[in-house]
Amino acid sequence: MGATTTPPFPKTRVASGNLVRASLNAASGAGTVIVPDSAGRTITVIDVWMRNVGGNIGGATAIVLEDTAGTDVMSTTVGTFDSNVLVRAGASGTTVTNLGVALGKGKGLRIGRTVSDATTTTSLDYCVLYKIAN
Amino acid sequence: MALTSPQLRTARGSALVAAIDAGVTIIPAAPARIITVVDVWMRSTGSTDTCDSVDVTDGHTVFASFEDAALTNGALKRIGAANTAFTNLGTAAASGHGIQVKTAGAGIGTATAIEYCVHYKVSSKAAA
Repeated sequence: MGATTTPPFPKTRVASGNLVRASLNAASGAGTVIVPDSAGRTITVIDVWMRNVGGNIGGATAIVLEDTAGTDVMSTTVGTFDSNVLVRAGASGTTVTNLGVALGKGKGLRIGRTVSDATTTTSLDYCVLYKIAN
Repeated sequence: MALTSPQLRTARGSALVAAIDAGVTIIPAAPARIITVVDVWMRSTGSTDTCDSVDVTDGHTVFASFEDAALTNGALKRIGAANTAFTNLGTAAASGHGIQVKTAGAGIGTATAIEYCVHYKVSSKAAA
């Protein structure tokens, strides 16, 4: 029929890990894919936390979780990321425009930076909770 | 097409402080299974004075730690808040280890129970 279907009790999936500074700055700042594209499927991110490991992040304007088409889910100003501070979606310094919103069909998720390369930090821990609809 | 991200699982419950002092297994050990704790909240009934902290641990590594000052009566505290430690949050436990909620230091005074909610994922150890 072509309609988007969601199971009555959709599972929550978790993408978690660590991205070194070079991975944040990869692909001219688009960063690194943490959930690959999946044809015909739609991702909705429902919660996020990130933690900076190492010195305070400099250089870049923001660290961004977005879909692989560039639609922002959570953008966090680098000044929010003091060393070892766990930053949750909705905290001061975060913009969560499309948290809870279905992203582009077939698109995955990536974490990168904006404007300039991130400096000083060693790496970024992340935890992204999301659900998938067909 | 296989999806690459594992399902989020949750261990949620409440235990009396005597059980927390001894250690409560909230996720049992499973051979060749690797547990990664990704988020935690706790809430105390009564304040948790006396103890050093209430920890989420596999017995070797502490993944989340709530100091007694964090667990004031009736306040829901998320890991990452003041008086919590989370160095190993998001780090995989050793293969085959379960997860406990356990007091560090002296036993909990004043409080009667600790409510916990631990989000985690499970993966398999690759065959040799």
